[in-house]
Amino acid sequence: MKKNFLITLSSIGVLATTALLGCSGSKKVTYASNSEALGVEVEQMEKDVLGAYDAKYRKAAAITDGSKTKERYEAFADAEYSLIYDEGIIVPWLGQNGVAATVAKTVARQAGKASYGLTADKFKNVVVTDKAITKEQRKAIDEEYAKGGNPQSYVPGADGWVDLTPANSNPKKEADGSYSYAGIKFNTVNEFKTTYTKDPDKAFLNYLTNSWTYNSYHYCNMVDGLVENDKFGNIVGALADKYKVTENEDGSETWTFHIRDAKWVKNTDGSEVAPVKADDFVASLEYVLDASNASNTASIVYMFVSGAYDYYKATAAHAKDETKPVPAFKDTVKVSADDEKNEISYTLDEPTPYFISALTYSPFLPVNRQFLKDQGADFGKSVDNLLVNGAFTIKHETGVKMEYTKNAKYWDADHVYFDKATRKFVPGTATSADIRTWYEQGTIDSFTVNTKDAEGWKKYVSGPDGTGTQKNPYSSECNAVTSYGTATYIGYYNFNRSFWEYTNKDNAKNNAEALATAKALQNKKFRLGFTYGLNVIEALKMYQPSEPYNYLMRSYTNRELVSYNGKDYCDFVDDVYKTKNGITSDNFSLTGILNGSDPIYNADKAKKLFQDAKAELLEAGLKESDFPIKIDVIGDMDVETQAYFDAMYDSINKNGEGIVKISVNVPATEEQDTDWGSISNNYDFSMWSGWGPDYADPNTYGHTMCIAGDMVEQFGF
Amino acid sequence: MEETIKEKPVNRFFRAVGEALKNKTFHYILKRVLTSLLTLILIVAVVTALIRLLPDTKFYDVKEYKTISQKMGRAAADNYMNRTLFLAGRKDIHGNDVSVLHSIFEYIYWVLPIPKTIPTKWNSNYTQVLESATFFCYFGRSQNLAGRPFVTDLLTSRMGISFTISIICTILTYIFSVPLGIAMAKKPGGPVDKAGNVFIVLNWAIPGLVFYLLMNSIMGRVDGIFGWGHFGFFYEDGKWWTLVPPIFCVVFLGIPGLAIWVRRYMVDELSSDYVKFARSKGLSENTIMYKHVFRNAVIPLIRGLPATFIGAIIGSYYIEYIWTIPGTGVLLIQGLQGSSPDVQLVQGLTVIYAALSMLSFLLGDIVTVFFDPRIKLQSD
Repeated sequence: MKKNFLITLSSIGVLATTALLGCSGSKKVTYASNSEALGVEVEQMEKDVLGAYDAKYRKAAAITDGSKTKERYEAFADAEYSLIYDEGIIVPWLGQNGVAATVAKTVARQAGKASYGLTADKFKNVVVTDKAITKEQRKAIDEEYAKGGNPQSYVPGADGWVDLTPANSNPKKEADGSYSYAGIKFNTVNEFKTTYTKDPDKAFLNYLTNSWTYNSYHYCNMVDGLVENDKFGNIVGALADKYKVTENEDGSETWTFHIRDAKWVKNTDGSEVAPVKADDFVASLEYVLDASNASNTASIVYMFVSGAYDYYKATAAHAKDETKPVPAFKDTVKVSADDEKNEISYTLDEPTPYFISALTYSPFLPVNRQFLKDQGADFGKSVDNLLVNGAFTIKHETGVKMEYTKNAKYWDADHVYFDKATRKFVPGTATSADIRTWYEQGTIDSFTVNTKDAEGWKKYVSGPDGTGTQKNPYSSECNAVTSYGTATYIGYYNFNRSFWEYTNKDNAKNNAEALATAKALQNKKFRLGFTYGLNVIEALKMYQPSEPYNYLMRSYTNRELVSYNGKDYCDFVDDVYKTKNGITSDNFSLTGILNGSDPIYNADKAKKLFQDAKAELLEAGLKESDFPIKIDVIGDMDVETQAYFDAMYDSINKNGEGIVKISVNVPATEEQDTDWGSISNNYDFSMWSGWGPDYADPNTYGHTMCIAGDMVEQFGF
Repeated sequence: MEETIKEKPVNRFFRAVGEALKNKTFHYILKRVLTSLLTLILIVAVVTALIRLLPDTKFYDVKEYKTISQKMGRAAADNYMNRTLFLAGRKDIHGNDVSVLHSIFEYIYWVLPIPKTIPTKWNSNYTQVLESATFFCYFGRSQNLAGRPFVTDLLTSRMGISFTISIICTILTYIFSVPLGIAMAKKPGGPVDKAGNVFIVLNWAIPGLVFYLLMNSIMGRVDGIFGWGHFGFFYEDGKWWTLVPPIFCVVFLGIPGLAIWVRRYMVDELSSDYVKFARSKGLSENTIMYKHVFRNAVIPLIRGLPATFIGAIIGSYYIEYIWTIPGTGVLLIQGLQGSSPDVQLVQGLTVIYAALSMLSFLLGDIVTVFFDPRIKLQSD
């Protein structure tokens, strides 16, 4: 009797526990996507979210008249402001601007300057001196530079051609080997010693397919294109010495460039192989636009040249299915070469004044047709698999060094100020102190003083009495150099999320929670709560502990991309912000380094925005029990890094208390981290996307966020 | 007069072969070589399988995939991914997966000493072979190093400097450790032995990498205590004195290891009967030490000599990385690190290093047989 009773009791107990466990179960989201949860079509969601910005963007992009540049920049600035601060679609936060304490034996500001294309990494126009540039010298150089130099005119002459001869060409070296600028006579050295940290790999030096900068550092010194930038950033001629623009009857525009006398030489011994012909520019486009060659930069060509996209798509279809025909390149792509006159012509679908800036990119570089055919897949795989028409030939020892030798047959040899350059490979084990010692012993010609190098910091920046700072270093040889990043990182929302996976079961969402999040993300005030309530300085302290606002970027387009009459485009955006928010101070800027603080983070404003958002969402059908809204973010597997982000997310949790809560999900493996972050997009909010410019116009950034724009795939659209 | 019937040369040849086949040493060596070949094939299979187990995301840059997808569309991004995976041997040119077994058998076929034609140059989209070459044993090409050199070419061009450094280090280590070991063994427990022990323990406690980095920083500075040597921070071709810091580091840290073994072998021998007999006979300590004991003690060291010589081809990774020496030591490690694993390089180096190891063990055994009459390769 007793036994039976016990057995029944225990079996009831077992059943009860199983039942309870079964009821609680693991939470799972069964929606296919946010759009399904909300019951809208994806296209409609895209219009709802991006429509307002898209309208402003289209208005700005339509201003193509070359004489209305100011209006164009103002319209783009207006659209950019609306994107960030009216619609709250993105939260810009990181632009790699900085002030670096630099000690250098090179005359500053002589080399070509640009935040796009290949000019900035070229060694031509770099002048090496025997002693470090002092503060006084730097001041004089900066003053002379600020005068702006002679204007570079893009007005056609009487014959219809625009002369691309640089108006601000650097003076030649004098007979005694000295170089003069800003009234100072510098003694030059005939060798340049610098470093590099990564050997070419992946696409190697194949400039027709490559998209990695550590490869382009080298081939930009071996191969010149049609144009480059001078030290003020103006477009000047490289292989082209003049051009003309013709408007055609059907609304298209043709750019014709005349190519000067230049030679292709062999990399191994500098001996002449062939002259540079107009056909070389057609050969490179034929290669780039053939999708089976897997060029990573073909888009820069087909976004401009008429017929290029059709040809590209046809080759892609043909690669998949050999029966699909490929039209003749000559008939489809509107690029033509006249070898007798040595002219190359590109036809664009519509007038595009900034097209010339795209020609500084690698897919527009020339290639010798026969050489490319002979090399086959080996083209660019090493320095010896390239022909050289640029300033240097290179000898490469993997993992040891690269030796650059001046190309005697270079068309612009007068502006190459040394015969030999050595790039020494720096192993990852070298410390900042080691690099400083390399400089002090003459092994390299410049270095940046790093806070991690305590001895060097004291010697050059803070000085024995500790009064020096990074902006005003103690040593007379050390100069504070400001540089602006060429990419902006943004925080953004996965509007149409379609994948939910959690490593920590406590963080898992159910359908109701996923729906609540989807609804909240559609609310403008909710998003603006993030814009004003996310204290990004906390995360930036990870990069720059002493001056985190240097890296702060609160507008989208990077600084020093374009300017109108000396006014940077970012200043236009700053102006819109100032006007719309009633700010009159002159020191205001959305670029942190010019500000010294974060002008956007405002806890009170954020609190109010979140409360208003909650009220609106309750009206729209959410219940009290749906709050706080859980926003999933991907955590960093590195505990130290995650600590910075936790400090930043704290600001949202505080400012949106009870309304929004950040839920951090740390991936279990690196594979999962890659998958969540880039493939399946397993997050509601992410800070890890960025954009860099492809040409000199705000459209390169503006086009990322319009309907069917470049980046909207990240939103799930 | 007796006629000596001379054996025909052909018959003499066959008789020699027949005798050789019956020779036990020959049997042993043949057995060892065949087992080694089987082991190598197994090694190829295991290494290939392990590399194939890695996820595809390790071979292409996912961030780049995303950027291309944004700027050029998903199809172009897939194109990039498939092209990269094709070069890594995981997909064919059309984007179809290559099975693991296919990868294994293909590589075994390449390695076996069968003459085969392998394409060496393709056209730009890999639809046509431009050039082929015939290889006897083919170990593959590196995909991540500039110029995509053949694994065999890489090894032959780089092993010179690694071999030189290793041999000099070995010789110097022997020069310092052997006298130290002998001096310590002469009187175990005595003052020399005690002092030697202290040095060995302290030296052994120094972490290798830390010592190398420290010495790199200290010995490179012209204004430091080693400034007189102008050693510099890295190796420069033609300037042999830039090799002094790395060689010093290796030798210094290598002394305790060898000294301990020398001391141990010597002490073992000194306690044996024949030494007591020699002493009772009145031979001087030095004669006993250097003429009799040393010759016996050195046998285990000689056994390791082929391994030392053949192993000298493989340089030290840290030394070559820190001083940027273009040797073989960095090849295997960097073939595994870096943005993506260098598949054929890793396969080729593993097989070649394994083969060299097995060869050195075999040679070591044969050398020991020659030097030590007590040891036979097989029991009768």
